[in-house]
Amino acid sequence: MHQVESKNVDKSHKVWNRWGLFIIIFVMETIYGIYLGYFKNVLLGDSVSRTANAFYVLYCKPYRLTSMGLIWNPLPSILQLPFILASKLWRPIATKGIGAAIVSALFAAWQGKVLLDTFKAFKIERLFSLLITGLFCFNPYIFFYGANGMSEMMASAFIIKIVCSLVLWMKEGKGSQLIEIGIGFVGMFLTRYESIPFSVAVCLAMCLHIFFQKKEKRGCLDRKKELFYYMEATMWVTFLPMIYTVLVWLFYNWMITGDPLYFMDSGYSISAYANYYSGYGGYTGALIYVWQRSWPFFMLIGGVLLVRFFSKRFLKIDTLIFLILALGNILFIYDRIAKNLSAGYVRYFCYPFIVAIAWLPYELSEMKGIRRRFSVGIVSGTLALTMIFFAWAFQYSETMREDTLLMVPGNSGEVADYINSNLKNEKILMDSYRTYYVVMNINNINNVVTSCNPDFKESVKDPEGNGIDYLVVPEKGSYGNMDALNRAYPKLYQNGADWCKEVASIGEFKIYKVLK
Amino acid sequence: MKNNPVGLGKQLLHAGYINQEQLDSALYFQKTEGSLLGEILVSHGYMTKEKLDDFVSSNSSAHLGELLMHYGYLSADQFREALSYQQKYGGRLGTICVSLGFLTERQLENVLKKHSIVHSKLGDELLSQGIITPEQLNNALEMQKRSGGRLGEIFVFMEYVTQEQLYRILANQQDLGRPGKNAAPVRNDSLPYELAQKYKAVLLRNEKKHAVIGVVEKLGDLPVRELSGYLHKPVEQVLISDAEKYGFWEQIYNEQEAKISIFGLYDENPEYSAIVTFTSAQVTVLLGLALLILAGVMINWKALILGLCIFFQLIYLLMAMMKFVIVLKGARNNTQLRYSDEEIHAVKETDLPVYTLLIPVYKEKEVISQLIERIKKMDYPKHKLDVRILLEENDIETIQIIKSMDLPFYFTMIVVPESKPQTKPKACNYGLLQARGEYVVIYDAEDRPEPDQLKKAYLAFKELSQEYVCVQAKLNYFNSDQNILTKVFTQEYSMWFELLLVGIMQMNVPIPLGGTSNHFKMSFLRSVGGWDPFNVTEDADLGIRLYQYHYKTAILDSRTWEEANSKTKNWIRQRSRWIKGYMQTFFVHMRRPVELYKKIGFRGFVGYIAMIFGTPFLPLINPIFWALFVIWILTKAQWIQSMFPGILYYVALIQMVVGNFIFIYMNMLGTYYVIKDCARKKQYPFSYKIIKYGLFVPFYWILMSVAAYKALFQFFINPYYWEKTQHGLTEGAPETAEGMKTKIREKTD
Repeated sequence: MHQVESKNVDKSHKVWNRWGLFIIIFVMETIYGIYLGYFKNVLLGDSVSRTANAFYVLYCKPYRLTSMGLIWNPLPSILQLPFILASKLWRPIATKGIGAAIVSALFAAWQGKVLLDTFKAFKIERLFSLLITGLFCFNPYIFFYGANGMSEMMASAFIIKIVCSLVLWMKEGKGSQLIEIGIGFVGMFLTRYESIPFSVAVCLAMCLHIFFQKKEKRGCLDRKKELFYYMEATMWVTFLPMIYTVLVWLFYNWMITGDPLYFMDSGYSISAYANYYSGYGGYTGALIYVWQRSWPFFMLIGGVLLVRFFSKRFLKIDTLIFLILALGNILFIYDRIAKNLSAGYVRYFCYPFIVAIAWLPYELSEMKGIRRRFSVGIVSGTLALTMIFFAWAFQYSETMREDTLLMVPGNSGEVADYINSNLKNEKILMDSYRTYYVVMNINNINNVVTSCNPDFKESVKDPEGNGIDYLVVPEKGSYGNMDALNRAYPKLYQNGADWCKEVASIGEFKIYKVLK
Repeated sequence: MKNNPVGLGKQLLHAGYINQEQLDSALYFQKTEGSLLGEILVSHGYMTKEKLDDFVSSNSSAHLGELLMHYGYLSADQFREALSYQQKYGGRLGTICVSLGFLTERQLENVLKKHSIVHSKLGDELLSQGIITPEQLNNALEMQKRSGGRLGEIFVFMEYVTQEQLYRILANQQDLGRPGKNAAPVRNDSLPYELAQKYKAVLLRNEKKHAVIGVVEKLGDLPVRELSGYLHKPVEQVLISDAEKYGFWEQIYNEQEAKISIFGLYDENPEYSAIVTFTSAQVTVLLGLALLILAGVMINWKALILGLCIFFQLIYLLMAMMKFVIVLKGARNNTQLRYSDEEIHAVKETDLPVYTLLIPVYKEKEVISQLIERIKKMDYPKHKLDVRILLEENDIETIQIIKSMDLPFYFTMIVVPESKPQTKPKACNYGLLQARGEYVVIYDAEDRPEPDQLKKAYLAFKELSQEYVCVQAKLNYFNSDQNILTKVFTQEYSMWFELLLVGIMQMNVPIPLGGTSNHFKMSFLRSVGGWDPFNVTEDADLGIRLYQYHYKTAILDSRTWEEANSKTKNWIRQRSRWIKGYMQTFFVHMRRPVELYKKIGFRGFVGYIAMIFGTPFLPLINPIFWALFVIWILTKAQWIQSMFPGILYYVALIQMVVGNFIFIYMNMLGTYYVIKDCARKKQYPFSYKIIKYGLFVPFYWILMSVAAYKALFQFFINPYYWEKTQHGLTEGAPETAEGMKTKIREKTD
């Protein structure tokens, strides 16, 4: 029977190569993740927080998905649900970040496979493919995020998938690649809101490609209007899944909370955080700030541009496309930082590095023979430099290490131990915003009233009337200010209140008994 | 004696016995007096009787009648009488003379023995008679070398000879007569249908001493003996053309064939006929279900509603999952049969078989002429086409129009006798009975098949294994740009043919075939009894039967462009018929569900349920859930929440959110694929601007639900009623790539 598409089979790329690398990365990341979480107690706050969101779904009654909350994108938490279920047999799967580590390890391994698949599709030599993929996947920065359960690895994997599909589309023009880009964006949106500015960058890149590629124009009878319609149709096919996902997300925010932009406007949202960001010094100050944290991630971009320069392709339109893809997100974040609307964690600036690596298969396919080898040398050298830098930076660079130090609130475990020992049958009210790790370590969850419980708001308003016996209140400060109890009773932490009595002070937390 | 119909007068002239003036004069007198030419020449003194006798006896070109008179077996009056009889009723002169008692068989044999006939080749014969020129003969021979086929048919196709001229010579070559002007089939005591069908023979005369049968090909001894045995008398064969045979056949056997076309399937395989809508077992089951529901309502209506909710959600889940898997398979692994232009050009036309095209037409006067023109332009040797235009007897207007057209010889106009049910499948069955092709395809009147589709289908059948008995071409719409309805309709079709059907094929489940452009092996169709005339989606039904017989269908990368319904009411009519047909098909094949399951296995059974049950069922239940959703948004009613407890809520949620989106998205994607694919082949039937109209699909679903309820109503009240779709509602569409480019240019400027 006639097959429609002849497959470009590079026999040197055997299936086991790609799956082999997948398994290696997955196993190593998982082991490292378990080592970090279980043995070294390195539990990053944002990672555990996402685990906690999943935790509430299966531990807090009534059991419902909404317990996950509507602020953060839901996918990282949803994927941890099976592990949360398993944690009912052994709690450390949740509390020591084992489930989270496995999820991020899976995505770390997947992105490696996607890269290799893309190299194969572009018929890049196996050695070069493995070298580049290995240098990327085992880069200390990438490797760390592949093990720590943060959502960055998921976002990275989706970005790689998107860009790899995009460059394949630029080469082959297949509809299935557009679907892959679309699904990639759905995954990315459900993981990180940065998908939105990134989608704008990809959209722009695609439009440029269509507009400047003769092959694309030929399919439109060389008519500008039809070309426009083709662009429009391509954008619809590519981005409709994401647009729909955004609309559904807005719809659910609206249905559940009455505010479609709840995830942006609520007391726990990104906008609420903005009050606590220190001034970065406007655009100039923000530039310096961003550069200090992002320059290592630009090394590979520099390598690609160097390759383009030496191969006399610097002035081609796809250079602009590459730069738009690589810099689109970071420019958006820079703008937000300059306006004091966003934090400036190092991990927010890693996108150029990820986009650049996904671009490489396309880049190398544009050259053959000695040119390609030379280019591989340049990019591999750049990758190796990045690798060395991060290996050093994780140990010695204050700036680069700052993300790695944002752990779960200190003493959370002790607070949980106190509750488990002394208050196991008492009804305890706490806002999981800061006490999420406490909640995860409490044995008798049924006695906890936290943000995901239907009667939480009422309980905060009237603890005694709702049968609350104890409160857990975090220290007021940048994060503690957003705690519901601190917002409802601003002077409680410092001065106490006549309706309750302090019974314990553990680190930043105070436990109060409600007087009846 | 040469088999040379050149007249006696010319022969005498050439031989120098008379001059031109004498000949002209004699011919004039022959016209006025009606006497034989030889008699006139002698009586006017232009030549003596002895010289005439000498000429006749020695002339190798002498006719039988002249010879018989020369030998004294026949008088001039008898000769005239025999000639007159021959002109009226046909047959061979010698046999006529014997049957009229003018001479004995022995005498005839003696003359024939003495003057044996020399047959020359057809081409030479035509040439020697001055009917064709040497150049025309060469052209025809070249065509035969290139495309194969019979030389005679090629002469007629190239309009070098008429059918009458051809068959006269062929008859002479085969020592057969031709029917006379007054020839008509014997109505009473005609041959039994089976016998006539077996030998393609029609009884034209039943005399006391012999019978005359019309045949399209000379029968051998065995068939002749069988026919003689039946008629109890010797049989004389006369050669008739296909058109003449059809004309005679229609007069005698049309009622019989009408019955076969209606009841053939029912007689052979009653379990596959939709003549009965519900069997008694099905009625029992349905009543039982109704009673169960009633009991449920009385005992605990909440639990009942919950149960029904769970059931419906499972159906949705099954459908959504299947569709998703099918689309993924269709998008990635394309197993359409594709052939390059080079492969098509390399086809040896001599190898091509006869291809039957069935064109059922009913009140389509607006579009039928266009289809005929398109068929004429198809890339297939025309003398190997068997185009059958199937008309309904009560469609006088279209019949008149077709009659007024000068149709090429490979077209046959077939008038289906008025009978119930009046459906397309019945007409197709009727047309199939005398079809000659090795392959057969159906085209609707408004269809625009790509010119090389027949050759592609041929290549497909050649390449595929024996179990493939059907090749389905892809359908799409040429008037996508007309309005929102046509845009969305186009998207639906694009998704079906570009993604879903391709994916379904790979899953090895029953495939409901498209309404037209399905190419079949004739042997398969006849073996399964053709289409079910009582089923208004006979194509879907046939697809299921095909699967049950363990046959397969392949998808061909060739398109037939149709007209999308542009008027809402018309669209609803059409869609309600399709849905009703699916309901019929479901109940027909679910008469014995256990047996069906055993025949087609688990996968096939699930696929059958999903395709045939799901298609009408979902549009029926959709409005219920839409209404529930709207009510819940507005009121947050607790009773609605209680219908979706626990995990069921999430299942329903995912289906609503993801499932619906997938359907909308796939519509747009399918169309995108089509447009790109066409552009790759330098065809530009639609503009990309129609893609975004896929967002209107939810409104389209509302229309589908309206059609579904209409179908449900008709299913009980009038199951066989064929809702006629009006065509020709669109403005003229482009025929060529250039034309299509112009169309898009005009629309986008």
